[in-house]
Amino acid sequence: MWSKLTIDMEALTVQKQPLEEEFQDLGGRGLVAQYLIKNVPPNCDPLGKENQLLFCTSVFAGTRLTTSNRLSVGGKSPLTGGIKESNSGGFAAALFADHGLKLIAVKNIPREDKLWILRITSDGEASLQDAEEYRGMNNYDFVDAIKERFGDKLATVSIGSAGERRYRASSIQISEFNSGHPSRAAARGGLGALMGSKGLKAIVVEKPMEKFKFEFKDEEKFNELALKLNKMVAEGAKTDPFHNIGTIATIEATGENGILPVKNFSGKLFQDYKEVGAKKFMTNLASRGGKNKMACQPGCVLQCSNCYNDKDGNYLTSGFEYETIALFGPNCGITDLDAIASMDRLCDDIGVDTIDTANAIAMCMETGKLQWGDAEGALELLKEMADGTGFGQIMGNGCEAVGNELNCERIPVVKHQAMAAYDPRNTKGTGITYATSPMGADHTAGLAMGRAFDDRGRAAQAYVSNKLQVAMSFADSMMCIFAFAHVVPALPLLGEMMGAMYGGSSEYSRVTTMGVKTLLTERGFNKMAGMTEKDDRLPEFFYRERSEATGSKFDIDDYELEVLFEF
Amino acid sequence: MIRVNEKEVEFIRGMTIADAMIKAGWSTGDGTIVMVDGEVLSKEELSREAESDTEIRVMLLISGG
Repeated sequence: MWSKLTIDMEALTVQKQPLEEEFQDLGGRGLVAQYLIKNVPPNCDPLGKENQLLFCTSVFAGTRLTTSNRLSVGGKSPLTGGIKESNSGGFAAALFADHGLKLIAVKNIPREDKLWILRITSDGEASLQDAEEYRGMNNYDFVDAIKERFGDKLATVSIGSAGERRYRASSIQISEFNSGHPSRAAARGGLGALMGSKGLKAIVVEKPMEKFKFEFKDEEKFNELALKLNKMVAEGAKTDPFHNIGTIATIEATGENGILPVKNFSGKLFQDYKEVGAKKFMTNLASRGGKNKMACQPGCVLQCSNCYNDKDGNYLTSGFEYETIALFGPNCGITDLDAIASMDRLCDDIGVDTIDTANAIAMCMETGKLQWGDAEGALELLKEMADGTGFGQIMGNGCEAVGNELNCERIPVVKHQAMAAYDPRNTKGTGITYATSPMGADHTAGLAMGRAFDDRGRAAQAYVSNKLQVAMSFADSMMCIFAFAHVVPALPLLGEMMGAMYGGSSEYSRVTTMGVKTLLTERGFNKMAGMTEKDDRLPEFFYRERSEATGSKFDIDDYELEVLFEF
Repeated sequence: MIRVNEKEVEFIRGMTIADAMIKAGWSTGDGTIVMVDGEVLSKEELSREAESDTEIRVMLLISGG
């Protein structure tokens, strides 16, 4: 039976209990939704005592299914004001599962302004420890300090100075498997601020001396099915650009067709996109001793992570991804891949979402505070976030806050959250997802890009977005969505695996129902939090301005968006 | 013989990388990334002439990063 830890930050207590029966066969995003709707008032102050911060492992955590050790972090979002599940790789979820933990719920806020670490030792003891000595420390230094104190057989989940300052675009950083770098992020929705409001600097989880053994209904059958799916992922990985190169390969697919955002979603093409593309990346890796094909969590056969070194061959950053590169790059007119890598490192270190932050930089450029392409100026502004200057604090609150401060008319946000690196005029299914996802403008909620290349029209795009949003909501409860893409032909096996693990139905409908229920619960939460249909819209300029690359506007009418979830 | 992923394609003098890809049943359009002998090629470079023992890896992008 899975357990949960309840951390009361007011009483400063830690309690381990069996997880409630109704949550046993849930995980990830699904568990976040069902737990929050029952335990957190949707209209609460996101940084107040009624909100809770959740860390959830997946439905299949701790098993042999590849990539099943994702970490879902949840709560009411300080950025969107709605429900938030932010999904990350890294080492922590595997260790939580090895301790038998499916859920860590952090509630209330401390009486005193003090910082704490939740430490889970190798013998399974969990306690809060004074973390005042780490106040103001950013993630890289923090991880070094923790390793020096407790050794390196552990994973960390931490906030930097941004989370401590309650910046609404702050992230929670998770250490990577093997390297230990805090470069994996539950980045979206400002959950770092929620962690900061709880006075929780970090969770430090050690590898258990004795691994938790889950009692499967039929372990042999489960392992047989998991092996089938693992083989499919491994086979798919052979021709997957994310494995062979990294997610940066997406630049090559979006650069020529107007999907890659350029200079604050201007709709133009960026002639120099290859300067920040796969070829340049691979050349730099090879010549500087960098690495790709790295796993961010144990047991991953897709291995899309990387380690990117500077010109002198010294470590600069890892988990260097398409979204970060596209948004700090072409969307800010910047072509210097090394400068972008430095921005990525700085964001991971202070703990902010690269998507919201890069869009905030684009706001500065759109309004003339910085010149397009000014990488040095962008880096200086990022440092202001760490220093906590007046403008740095506004930057820390993300794209919309900066856009409003600078009177920018074109602010690419939905539900106050900045868009990822896909222009919704040229991948309309993704635009529908941006508009209607309970998470705000989130590409991982249902990226319709793969289908946009053979666009069958608006209705098809709405259909694809709907299907993908359901699929992503159960995928985010089970495994990494990159691996998930390779098991699509065998999705009914996921139902059989649930039956073999937890008992009960082995039908695929058990899985799809989980997806639909998750989405509807999230939308229900948002409605009770005060969101209306008007929050399910793209910013007006996407409806008005044509993409220069294609001549396309976002022409999905309101009615289509409103009926999307009428199942 | 040219190899495109797991498939062998007969080498014909003068054929391009794109020709070999098409012969192996791949599209050269959006959504594919091509590596030739370990090097990532841009779309324009697919018109480069292939060599007799070229190893081509065509990869289909199925989700964003």
